[in-house]
Amino acid sequence: MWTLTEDTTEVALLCAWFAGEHHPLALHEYNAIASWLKHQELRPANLIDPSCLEEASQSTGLDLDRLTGLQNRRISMGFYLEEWKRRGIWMIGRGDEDYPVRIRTQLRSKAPPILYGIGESSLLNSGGTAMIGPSPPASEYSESLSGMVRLCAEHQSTVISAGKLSPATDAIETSIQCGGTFIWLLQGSLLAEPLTKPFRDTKASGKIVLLSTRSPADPRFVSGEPELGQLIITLCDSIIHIDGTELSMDWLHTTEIIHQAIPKKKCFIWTGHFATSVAEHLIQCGAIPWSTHEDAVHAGIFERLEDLPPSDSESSPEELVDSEKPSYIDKGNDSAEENPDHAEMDLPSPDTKDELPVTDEPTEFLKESSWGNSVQGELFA
Amino acid sequence: MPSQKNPDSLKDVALQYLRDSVGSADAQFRDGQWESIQQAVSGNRVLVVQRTGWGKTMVYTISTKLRRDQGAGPSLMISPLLALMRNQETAAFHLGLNARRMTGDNREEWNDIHEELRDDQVDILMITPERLANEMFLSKTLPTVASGLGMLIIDEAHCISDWGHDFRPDYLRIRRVQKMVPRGSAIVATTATANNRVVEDVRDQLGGNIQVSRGSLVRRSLQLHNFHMPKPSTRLAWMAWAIADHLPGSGIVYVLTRKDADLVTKWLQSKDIDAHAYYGDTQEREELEKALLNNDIKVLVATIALGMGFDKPDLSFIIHYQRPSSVIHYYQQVGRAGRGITDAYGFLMWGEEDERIADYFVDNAFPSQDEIDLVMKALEEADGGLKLAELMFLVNLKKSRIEKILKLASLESPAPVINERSQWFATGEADGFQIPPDRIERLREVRAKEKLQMREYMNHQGCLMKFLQQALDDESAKDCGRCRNCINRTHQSYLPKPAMVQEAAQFIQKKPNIIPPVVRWPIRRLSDHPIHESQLIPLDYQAAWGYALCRMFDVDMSQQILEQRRNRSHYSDEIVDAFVEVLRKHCGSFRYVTYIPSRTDQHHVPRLAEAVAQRLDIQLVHSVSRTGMGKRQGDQKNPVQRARNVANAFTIVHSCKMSTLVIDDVISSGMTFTTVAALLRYDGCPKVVPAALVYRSLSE
Repeated sequence: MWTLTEDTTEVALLCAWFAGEHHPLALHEYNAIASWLKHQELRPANLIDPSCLEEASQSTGLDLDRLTGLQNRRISMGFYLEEWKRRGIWMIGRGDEDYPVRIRTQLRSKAPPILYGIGESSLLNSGGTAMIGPSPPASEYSESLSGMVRLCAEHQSTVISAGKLSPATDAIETSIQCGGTFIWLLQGSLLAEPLTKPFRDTKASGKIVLLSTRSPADPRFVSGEPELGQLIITLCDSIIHIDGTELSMDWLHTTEIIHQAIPKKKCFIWTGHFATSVAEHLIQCGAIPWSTHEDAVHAGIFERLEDLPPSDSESSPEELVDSEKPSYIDKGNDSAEENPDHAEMDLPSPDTKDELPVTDEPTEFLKESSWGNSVQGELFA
Repeated sequence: MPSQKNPDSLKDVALQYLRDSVGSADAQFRDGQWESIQQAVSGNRVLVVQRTGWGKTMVYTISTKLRRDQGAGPSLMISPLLALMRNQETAAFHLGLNARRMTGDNREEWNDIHEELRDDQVDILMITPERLANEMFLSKTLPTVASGLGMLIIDEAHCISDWGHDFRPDYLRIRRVQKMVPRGSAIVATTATANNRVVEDVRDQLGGNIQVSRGSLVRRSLQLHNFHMPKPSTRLAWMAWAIADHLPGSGIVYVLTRKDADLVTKWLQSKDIDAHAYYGDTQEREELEKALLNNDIKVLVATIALGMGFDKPDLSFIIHYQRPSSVIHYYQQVGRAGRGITDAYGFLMWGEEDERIADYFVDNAFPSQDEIDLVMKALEEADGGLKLAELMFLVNLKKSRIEKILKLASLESPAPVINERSQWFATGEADGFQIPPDRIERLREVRAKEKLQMREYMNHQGCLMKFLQQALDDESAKDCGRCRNCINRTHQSYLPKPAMVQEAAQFIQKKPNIIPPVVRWPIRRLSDHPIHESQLIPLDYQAAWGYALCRMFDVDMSQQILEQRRNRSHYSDEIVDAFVEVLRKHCGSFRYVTYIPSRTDQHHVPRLAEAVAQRLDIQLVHSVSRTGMGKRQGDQKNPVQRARNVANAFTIVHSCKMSTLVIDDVISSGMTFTTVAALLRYDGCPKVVPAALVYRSLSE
């Protein structure tokens, strides 16, 4: 049974959605507080002191009423936690020992302050093969997809996918059938987890973990979440990119992240008969066109990567105020405190309310691609 | 605000609130009352263990008032029973507080309550512990309260302890949630019935740093009596004598079952006593409570549904028709009398059926591991979820048993079962789930000890009030000088006149024992036969109202019948004659008599039917035949199993095209009668009247 540390309790009060009139802090807002805490050599748990909270408010410019209102949700959070624990949902904070190592070390200040999950949390440190693509993928992929999931199970490589549509749903079905392990990232509420017998059995045997960055109490509707793509790429050792023509902002964002990951992680592209311009560009950047399962194995699709160095030069501000952090975390780099707003796109700000988060500016790669150009004006205006 | 001007201290303000509330300018705080209020107002945690009527409600209403004056948020009160809340609403009203409750019976007010909460117009929000798990409450109501909670009030806090006599699984939620209550938010927990062990347990559950305010539990106005009266007729006779002629004011008669409530009520009414039955299903409960409060009625005959929190200071007597399950329950119930008057009476009677009922409650207090495994296995093997009726189809356990298992399991954290849209699902925790055996064993021991202690009390030769106080670890216990033993009253002095006893016995026997028709099958499609096509049984297939000679609680008659049944002898002429008299009186006329063929005895019931047909001078038809042996119907534990067991067990071999009397010797659920009646009616019989010697309803 998990329990919240005092630090994570305070972080959750500020950042997690438990209903109430005040919007939880966006990532950049929380990072501002974390930076201030670090400067003061304080911990998140110190925020329970009203004077500390007041100082934090003054230093960060965050509205004190809002911070107090968020903190006053303690009883409300107690009731929610009670219900979530009963449902087997856990919650871990960025400073907790159980927080996935790769997310913490690679995303650092972009790492979500709180993660929610169901199932075997240790799988989050197992690496694995990401299977991603616009949904639904072409029907010609389904057989290859099943075969690949079986191969993953044989090689004890965890399959990582996201969403409640194919390819994730096809992959998870096969994974359950063949006894593989699976990390399933969800954009909606964990309360809507499947309750079928095969799924329950898989969960009971510790072969699946569901992960979400959204509080199960968050009632807002979202069609997709760009940070899921970031999390998948962060958690995996290699990527199978299933090409498709369906365009969405989320998918563009994920493609962008794949592009950035290619130097470090092997990316295989399933293109079918006609490769999209995105697939062609990814191949030009080093992605490997898919031929056969055997070729993929030879090309190192199941090579386990050591934990990677940070993907950027930013550090996680509150790492420096958390005594539980693992010893291997680099404590030296604290540039985020100088620019706490760097991660603004990662979580909705209080002002955007129910709107989707805004993505990064497109890279040169996307700007240059004909496919990117066709939607650029619409998506990035 | 208080009427007193410029109060110079918080205590003065509080005292003025007390005086305003009770309408007396001289009122003073009782010992410990102000100290408890002071703790609460200071944002501390306090457990108040004081007798009913001491003024626990005053502690949290005045504390709420003072904290609201200081600008704090509303209080959230968790209370187990509706009756409690109604009284508390009134108490709060007298103090100018707006107390609102969100319970199942006032859904139409919820939107208004939400608005009032948003506008900070609610001072105390009252809920039952079950509501803490309700999604709408969590997402919509709670945030408006919890963000500025002034105080958490846990009424009847002994329910939080599974050492307690009233442990409520839903109070487990409070145990876990209270840990999140912020500093500066007070917790006030109250109980009238907690011994040292329960107090310690509650204190631990609420975080340890809690002040305990504990006072004497003696109720000096109460005169306690207890006496053994094996026969229901003797007890009925004594009550009629006592209530009609000797007991002043109004009171409550406590019974164990609804059937008893109806029987006692009708008997008292027949003796011109203004008595009314009160139990869980009674529609006009609130009106009856008000009528009793206003002394508009003489006596309420109630099950424990009229429980904790009913507050009538001038209630002058409490009679127990049967013994309660524990001394603490008894103290709680008898303690409703004499709160505000100088003389009140508590009479505890017990009869021959009590021990059996007490054993049943001890044996069935908790499900066994085998029973838990059955339910978990059924859920685990289901591909999706199962409705309760589907579980009852798969698992041969009583409905209440299955519900209890689901309840206990669903409150575990993480839970092995969850409920989604009226379906139950196993989770990954279901495999191997068990309630820790030591916990079950401990709870069984508690129940067994309670039973033993109750027996000790009934046979106690010393002061009865002192016994009750000592049972609750009240260190101030001493002889009351008023109870039966203190005044040396003999058993003989309680015995009613034989003529009255005879009259009561006749009343029990003469009362028609109606067998109501079953109007719906417990599940759809029990078989392919058209009678099972819809769950609601069409009127054309239903049985008429039937009659039985006696009920199980009519011990003399029912035991005689069951003994003859066991010996497989002819039913005696005395029994058959009495049966025919009932049929003549209540059942109208018939053209045919038929019977339910037994699984194991080919002759017993047919001979009974034959004897009835001869005496009524109508034709006996061997109309119904068994198509298979099936299982013993008495072994089927829930309605679905019982219906399933007989769904294909009978066929009609000779038609009865005119009104027909169907006879069996013992009826319990009525599912066999219902099935046979439906088959006969489907076959063209216009009216089917069931009749049996003994009606053993499931609650008996």
